[in-house]
Amino acid sequence: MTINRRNLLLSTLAGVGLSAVPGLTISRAADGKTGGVLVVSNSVEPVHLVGAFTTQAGPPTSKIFDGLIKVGLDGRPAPALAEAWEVSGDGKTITFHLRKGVKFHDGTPLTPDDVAFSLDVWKKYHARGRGAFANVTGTHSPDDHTIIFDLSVPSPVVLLGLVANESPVLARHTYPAEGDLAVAERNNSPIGTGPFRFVEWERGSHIALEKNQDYWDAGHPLVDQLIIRTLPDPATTSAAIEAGTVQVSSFVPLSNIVRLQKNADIQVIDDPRGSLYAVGAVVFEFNLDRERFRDRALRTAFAHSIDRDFIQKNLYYGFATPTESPIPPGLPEWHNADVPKYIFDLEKAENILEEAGYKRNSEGVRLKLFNDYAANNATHLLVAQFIRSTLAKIGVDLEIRNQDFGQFVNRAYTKRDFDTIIYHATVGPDPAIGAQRFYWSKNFKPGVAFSNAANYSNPEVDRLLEAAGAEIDPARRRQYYNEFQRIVQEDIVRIPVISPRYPLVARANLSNVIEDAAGGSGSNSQTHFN
Amino acid sequence: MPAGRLSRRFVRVALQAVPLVLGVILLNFTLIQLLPGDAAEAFAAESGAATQETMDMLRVRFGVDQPVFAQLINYFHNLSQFYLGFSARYNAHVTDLILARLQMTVLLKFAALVLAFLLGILFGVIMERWRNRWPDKLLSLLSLVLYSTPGFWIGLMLIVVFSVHLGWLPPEGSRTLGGASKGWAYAWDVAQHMVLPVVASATFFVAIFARLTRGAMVEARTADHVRTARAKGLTSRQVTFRHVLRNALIPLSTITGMHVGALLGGSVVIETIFSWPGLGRLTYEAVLAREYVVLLGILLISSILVITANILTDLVQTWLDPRIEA
Repeated sequence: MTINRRNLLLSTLAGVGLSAVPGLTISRAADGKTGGVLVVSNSVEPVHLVGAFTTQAGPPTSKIFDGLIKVGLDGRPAPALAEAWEVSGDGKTITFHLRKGVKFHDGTPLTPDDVAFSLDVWKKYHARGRGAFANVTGTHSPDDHTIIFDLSVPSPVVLLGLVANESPVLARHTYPAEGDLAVAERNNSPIGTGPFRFVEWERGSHIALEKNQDYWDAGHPLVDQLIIRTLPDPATTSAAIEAGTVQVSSFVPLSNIVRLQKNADIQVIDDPRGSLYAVGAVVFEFNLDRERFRDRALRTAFAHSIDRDFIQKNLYYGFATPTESPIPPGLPEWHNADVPKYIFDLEKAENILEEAGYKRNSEGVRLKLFNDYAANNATHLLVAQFIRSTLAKIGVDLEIRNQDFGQFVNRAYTKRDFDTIIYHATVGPDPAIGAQRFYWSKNFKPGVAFSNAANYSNPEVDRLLEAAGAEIDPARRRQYYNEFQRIVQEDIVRIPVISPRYPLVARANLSNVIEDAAGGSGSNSQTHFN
Repeated sequence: MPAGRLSRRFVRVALQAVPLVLGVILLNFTLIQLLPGDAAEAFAAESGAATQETMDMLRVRFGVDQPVFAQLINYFHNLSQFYLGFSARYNAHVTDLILARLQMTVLLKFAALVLAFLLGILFGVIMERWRNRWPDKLLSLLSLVLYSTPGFWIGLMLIVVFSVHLGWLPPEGSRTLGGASKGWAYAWDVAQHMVLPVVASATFFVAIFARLTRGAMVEARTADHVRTARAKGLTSRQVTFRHVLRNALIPLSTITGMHVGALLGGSVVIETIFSWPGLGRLTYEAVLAREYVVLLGILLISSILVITANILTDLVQTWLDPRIEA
């Protein structure tokens, strides 16, 4: 028998890639303020969909789950699954009154037991949860709608940590009794109490969610379907927003945002109130294990060589705030603007080097050193290159090493084989979570990413950080953090450069894209088409 | 007996493939160990915060707390049971992860290969038929442009023109979310989504195939049997297709087989630009994440694919050219 080539070709085509995929029924019309399909873009494929275990679960968590509380646009805690709460006078117990009648997506009611189970998960698995809830020793519930957290010492960060994105409340009965829960099957098809129910996850393509008809916040969410589309390429993301196949994105390159601002079909949302959990700073950090960087004078020469104005205008297109404080202005409650400043002054920087004995050699070079930047953001390379070009003017040869993010982390935190590093670190929502880790001498832990890379150690700073971490009086806490910022800027082992903002790009016919402090990573329960 | 010759040939090349696959696994495993950092470190770094306890927990979960040799033995043990392992990072079995993506990549790349092959031959025949006249010069220039323009740029330009400005074709994805999920409507939907990425993947190979066809045909045109065919009084068209092109297909099939690997390798860029849920992107993510179980699985399956393509090429050539011995 001879093989008919045409038939062979056809049967091959039919067999490849054309298998049926479970479909979605999407209502296209969006009449008035309800209905319609909202498509949100995401740049990386989440590892799974439950943010109780990892920060890499991406945007679905806040949409499928609720937290005990949420933090409003004013930065204040507001009720979510907990209708009300009280902190005891000594700060050692927090009593949460759970909302009545809340049901998980499978119909089972929410109980204090689910919250206790979730707390165990946050404490055991979540990298930030482990820190935020370290002082929570246990829970007990006097009735079916109350749960009390017992604390070993007062811990003001606990409340801010209880939002949906960081600490979603899970349904205990949907997880196995033992084993490594981070790799539970359930994390790929989660069941929560949130405004949207999970429908399907096609890896590499999208995650589809639908409206939770029985959501406790009656009348919400407003859209019928929510699709989280994975778009790895920023240029394609811009094109998709322009073509209208995606309606909301926080992954449009800043250079394109400037152009898209002129498009009447598109709105750019640059709202600092929506960045409490994302606010951070790009920093330039020294390795104090290298003898010469223990010289403070040398470090101040670098601090005087950073042209924040240029970086803000040209590398961040204005979507960033210069900061000389380790707690950036985006956290107004704790930011101290009155710290020792190192104004951009190359002449002064050069004099410092000259006096410290770094003379120019025959090629005009005083000092040669390496810089490693964190390649998880394209702008970090630009910042590194710009600082190199500035330093070259005063005879400092900064050699930038190119490597992927994995190698950067290995080099900086495990091998500790670096002179200087440039990276971005999230400081929000609270300095005890976001700032302490870089300056606290007890957090010098080789092998642990984003710990104290400089090997900085100052007993006074340690004392202030520890005192602030356990202080419930905001005024005294602010004093501690103000003093902390002043001292570390005096020591200047980490030079804060700039605090980037994360503008959202959305189609103009959308309203309420941002509804609380989670900003672009919020639940979208109030987002609607006009 | 051509059938016997083909099957003997098949057995021989298939046997040669076994040590090759084993070598590929060993080499890949070694290469991955050379990458600085491990899966646990990368995972912790991406989360932007870590403690000693979370690092220890991650190392156990990712299996990187074991010595390297134990990891390799463990991997071979799994392979002997046709199991590619479980990815803690993606919370899924490696086989499931790969198969879901593989069909999308194969669909895209197979279509691109067919398009490049057909267009390349068409261009080549035209160029040879009107050698050194304006169609030849025009197409030569075109293939030079296609050869030297990177696929990602062509891809982005196609998106700008056909999706953003004209609005004719979708800019990203493999199907309309919420559209038809089976039947002709689904096939039509996927086909529309395929047009731009297929064209962007094919351009480089169109140029290669066109140049190659032209060259091979120019050479075949001078052969004795072609002169005989002309002397027999066959028409110019019959000579071109039956005698010249047919002989030119042998070098063309060699190159096509060789480029299957290149096409798979180039998929990461096209898949990223068009957000095509294919294997190339999974590979790229796995490298960045140091997720060696996924990476090894992909490399293993890709090498099997490339070896299969080479076996097919071998068989096609044996069939095309009776002089090749089994």
